[in-house]
Amino acid sequence: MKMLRISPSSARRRPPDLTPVMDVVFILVVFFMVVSTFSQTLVKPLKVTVPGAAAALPSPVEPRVLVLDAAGSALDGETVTDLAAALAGDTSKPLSIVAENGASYQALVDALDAAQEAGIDDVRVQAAGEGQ
Amino acid sequence: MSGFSLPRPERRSRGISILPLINVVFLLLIFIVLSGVIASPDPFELLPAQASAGEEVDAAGSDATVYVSGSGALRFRELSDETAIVALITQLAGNDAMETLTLRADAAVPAVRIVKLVESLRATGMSRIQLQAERRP
Repeated sequence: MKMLRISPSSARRRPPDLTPVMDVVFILVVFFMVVSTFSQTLVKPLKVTVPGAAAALPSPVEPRVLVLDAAGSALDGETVTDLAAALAGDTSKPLSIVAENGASYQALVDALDAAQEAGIDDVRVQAAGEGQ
Repeated sequence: MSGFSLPRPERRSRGISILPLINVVFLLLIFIVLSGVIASPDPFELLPAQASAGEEVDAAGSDATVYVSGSGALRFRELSDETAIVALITQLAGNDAMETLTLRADAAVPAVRIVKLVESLRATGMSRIQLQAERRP
């Protein structure tokens, strides 16, 4: 009976084939690229007040009024183009943002942005036609 | 003067080594896994407002997010009716089951709609309401 001969170990082995690994890794890369998002999400906390309480307590300082409408924004009745610069003028007074019909949500976020950059702490938001 | 003679290629040229390629692809994979956040899809197509200031948060949506589409449609969890949404949030706020409510709205929604919505959400007793926006590129 013949014995099986094991091939001598001196024969150089081939390195393992890495192509299947590459396939899987490429698929993983594509998967993560498709399902991932790199945009940064920000949030703007709003002050929560009990409805009616703000009206009941008279503000010690008259707020500046920023009106947002379809045409743009007006601060205390004057049309403003550079909102951040206009708000930076006097940051001690509270700011009351009034959204008119026609103003977009983006305009409201821009106004909140400008107020935050100007360093105004007391910002109120209301829709047009509501009490101060 | 004797000329140079080029050596004959004796061995068959080896196949291109793909090990460096694998290294790069693995690095790419690790980069994407670490830096990206798996996005939770919005319930409808919406283009969120852009802002340059605010608190940075994890992009993954939570079940405490009220979505507002460009046409003004609402979605909170599985609900889309405003009255039902306000009722559920009132219940959640009463149970202290939810502390922060996030509003993710399309940039084109009328601001009046958002202000009125926030006012009705404030009336639910929710202690913290925040507006969500994407960082301006």
